[in-house]
Amino acid sequence: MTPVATRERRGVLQKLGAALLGALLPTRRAKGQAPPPATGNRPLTADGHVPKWGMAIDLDLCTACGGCVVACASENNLPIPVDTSDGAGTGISWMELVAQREGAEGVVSETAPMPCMHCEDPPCTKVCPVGATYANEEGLVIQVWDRCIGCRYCTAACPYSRRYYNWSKPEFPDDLRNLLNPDVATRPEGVVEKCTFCVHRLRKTKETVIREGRTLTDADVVRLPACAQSCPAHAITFGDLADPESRVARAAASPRASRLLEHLGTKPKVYYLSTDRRSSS
Amino acid sequence: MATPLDRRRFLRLAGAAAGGALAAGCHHEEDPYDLARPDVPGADGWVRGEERNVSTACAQCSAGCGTRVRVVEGRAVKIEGNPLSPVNRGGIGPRGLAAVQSLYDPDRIKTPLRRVAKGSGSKLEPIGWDEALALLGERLAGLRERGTPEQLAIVCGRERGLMLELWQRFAAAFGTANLFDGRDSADGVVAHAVRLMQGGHEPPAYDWANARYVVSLGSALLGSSCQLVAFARAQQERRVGTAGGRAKVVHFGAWRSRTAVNADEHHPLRPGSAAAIALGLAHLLVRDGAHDAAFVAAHGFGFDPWTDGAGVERPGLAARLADYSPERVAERTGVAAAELERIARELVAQKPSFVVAGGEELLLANGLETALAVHALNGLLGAIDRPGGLLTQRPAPLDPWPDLEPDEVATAGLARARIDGVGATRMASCGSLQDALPAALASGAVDTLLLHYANPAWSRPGAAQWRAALAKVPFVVSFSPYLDETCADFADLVLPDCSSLERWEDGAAAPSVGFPHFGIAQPAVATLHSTRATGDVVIALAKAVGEPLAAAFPWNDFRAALLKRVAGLHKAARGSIVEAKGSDFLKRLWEEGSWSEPGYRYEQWDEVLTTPSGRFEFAPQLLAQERAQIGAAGDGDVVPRHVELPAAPAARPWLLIAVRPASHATGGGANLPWLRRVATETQLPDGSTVAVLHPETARAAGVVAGAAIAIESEFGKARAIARLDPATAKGVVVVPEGGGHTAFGRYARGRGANVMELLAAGATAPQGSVAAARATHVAIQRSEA
Repeated sequence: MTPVATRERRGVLQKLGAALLGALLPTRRAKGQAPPPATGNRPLTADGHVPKWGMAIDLDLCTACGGCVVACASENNLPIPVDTSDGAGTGISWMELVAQREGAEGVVSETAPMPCMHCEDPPCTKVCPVGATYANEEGLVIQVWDRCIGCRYCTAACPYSRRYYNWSKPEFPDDLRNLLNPDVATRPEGVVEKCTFCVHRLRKTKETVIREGRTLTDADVVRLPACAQSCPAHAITFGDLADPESRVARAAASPRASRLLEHLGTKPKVYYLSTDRRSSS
Repeated sequence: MATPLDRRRFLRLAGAAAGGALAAGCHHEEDPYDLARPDVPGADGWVRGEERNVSTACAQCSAGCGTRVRVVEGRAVKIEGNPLSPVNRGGIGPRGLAAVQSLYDPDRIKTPLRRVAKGSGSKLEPIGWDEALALLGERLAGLRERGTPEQLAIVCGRERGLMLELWQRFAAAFGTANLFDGRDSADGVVAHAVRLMQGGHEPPAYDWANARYVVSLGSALLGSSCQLVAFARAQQERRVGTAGGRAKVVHFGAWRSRTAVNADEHHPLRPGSAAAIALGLAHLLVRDGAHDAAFVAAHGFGFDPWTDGAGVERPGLAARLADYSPERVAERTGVAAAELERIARELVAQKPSFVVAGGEELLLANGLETALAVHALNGLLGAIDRPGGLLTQRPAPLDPWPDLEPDEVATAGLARARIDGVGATRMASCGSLQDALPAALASGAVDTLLLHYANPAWSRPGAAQWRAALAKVPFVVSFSPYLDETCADFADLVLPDCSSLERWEDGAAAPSVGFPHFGIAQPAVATLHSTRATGDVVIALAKAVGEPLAAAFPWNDFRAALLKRVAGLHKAARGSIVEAKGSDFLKRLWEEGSWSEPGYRYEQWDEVLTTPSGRFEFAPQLLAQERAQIGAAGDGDVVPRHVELPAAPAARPWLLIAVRPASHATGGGANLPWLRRVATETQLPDGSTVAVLHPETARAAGVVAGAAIAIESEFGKARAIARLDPATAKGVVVVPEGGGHTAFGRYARGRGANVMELLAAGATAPQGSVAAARATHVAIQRSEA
């Protein structure tokens, strides 16, 4: 058996995978204490600035090729869609191409990639009875799948339908197990999972930056998530919304930018840029 | 709810405990997470946790994107775009990303297979490589001994690249002209038109980066086009980089494809009418004096009246265009005269501009006429070899293959007529016509059929005719890595190829950047199963057949042959990699994944106009000659024109349009489950095939949205779910390719319908285009189930 990422549920301690630890570590460091190199929790700039990670998706550039969807599935060990008895298949897709339909025939007029919105005021975290999901200090909405009890309150609370419940045990038959990414744990049956903004890649990049003795720059992170890296059109930009000079912050400030369901007050940190729709949909 | 402080304390404790548990685990003999290495070949050559990035070329379609494979402890876990590749510059599409699933497909063929006991009780049984090669070598040597080498037919589904060239060399040394390549896509039709009008063998590369206005006639830029990634990246630069410099894309297409959704304008196109639109635009350019008269005068032929071989004066394109006034074009196409006038004005006002044809429009019975008309329009626009226009892909300076001297047997075999009639009853410039094969196979002209990158029992138009023909071939050999329909039911011998991540090859990139470049495909992981790269097998087979073939293939394996040719890049001492020592050059090539020589030189007329006249022939002389050769000279009229499609019979009133979604580009892909998530426009989640109709068409056929329908042609029947869309051409039913597998592994089997069952094999256009020229009419009924 391959030693990575195909673990059963065996109790909390054994299951604290590398990606999970990476997500949690930012909350562990006491103020003023120099970070040990291994944690990689270094602020974006030397002056203690705390980043606010966000994303901008330019729909004028997006061709809906679906590269981001497959890149995400590959990077994050998403379950392989299988045919089920009801013919529905499993539909877990952290990054999903969502079609906007118009008219009586429900014709697809535009297709937009949708990751987790990583809201600043996320409705999902408030309803979790066991603290399995929370927003960390850098603005990532974290899901601790090992702590999740599968009640699916968060899935119901998310107005963007960006959370997925594992109705069955993910199967990676035979050789397909080999393509699992060792940086990301697979999820067992009965827990909710979602987009992490590729927190494990963020963590790796921070470690690299520390090893090289410098601070994070916009160029280090602008294509950091797997979806942004693969995009042939460079339609997806990632970065620090709290840094007004970052590319993502400039995109968010564009008159073309809007966020989904803004009136709900969730303050999503994913911005869509489009010439056609300047107001939120 | 826990306070943050509580949580932190808890986590610190949990983290410490977890670390302790792991540390303790290291000394525990039964710890399930410790010590076992990945169960893959070659894993013992890796340090724990070691990662490598292997630069290679994607083989999932013909674009030839550069990729980097992330390999961890011998396992290929992820594919990423290579920023150093000039084709994709770091981006990568869904097909390329899913290549790791093709490597680890649990249903790959793991050893060579031989069919035992033909007939109903037949089955495939494992056989050793040595035995398999000896068996096939003996059979092939027998063909040469009997003096009938032409009874070997080879189908190589590749369109270009060193593997195709290796097969061509094998066929030439063996003595058979019956080699069939994969150039019968829409790109092949464009290449045919370019060959006739301009010379050369490749479709043009489009200068997206500099174009400001593009008219697309049915093209699948963002569908199955090999330029998908390059186009997306160029568009990005146009839209973001230059203020107001965004290129406008005006698309005419029979359905709301992904290209249509992304275009600035989509005009529903009556199928088969693109040539009329192109000639209508040409009419307006000439009427307003807006065409590039300088280019036409200096480099054109056949715009003005010309004299044919018999000394008869013939009218040129200028005279032909009189028949394509906007009003006449509106009658033929349904595109309003005023719209056509506006688009013609914009084409000129927003130069550089060009027109691109493609997709299903070129696979119709008048596809070659369409491609010729569009290419003529590009000539009138002055788009040939100019910035923002049509470029001619320049080859990389590879060393040539060593000279080949066919022996007596081979020379005699090569002199015999091709079984598809190319050169005799079909125009020689077609190259090869796979769709003429079923008839030839059924007639017993072929003793041994080799299939590389080919699964005709499922993937070809007229799949049923193909199956009947394959059953009559005495010996069928497939090189497929997967147990596809052809392997499962017809192959007598299966010599499984390696996956593209296990073998040496070249990028075999379709024209996209124009300037010379060469991508290397190298193994990212050790070979998983007892499979062999087909390149190695061809060389071994040549040795098994014996002299003089063995001498024509002096290399130990395909890598050695590849290195010989790559030496030319080193000797050229220019481009992106220049090193004094050969070993340093190769080291960098392996690291960077490609060699290129950026900087396209425009207006090199002697290089890009390679017709016998050295001119851009609006009246292609090669077309006149070849038509005369095959006895189809007709009225001798070779100036581009619009030809109406045949009318629908009363019993089958609807025109079937088979379209290729991006996830299915160049076939295959159904065994890659990740791609299900991106094929939503043509597939339901349960795999059902979606058929798209105009609401009026649906009403006339008695079909409502979401209904299961049975689509029936002269040749077969398919089931689909109806989707209604007013942006579809009327009288048309649009059905995607890619479904209806009966084999090909657990992820492919039993999902959707195969539209190829509805199409006819051998439905080649009267003048013999490269592609399966289709005009299949169907009846539609509500389906019971």
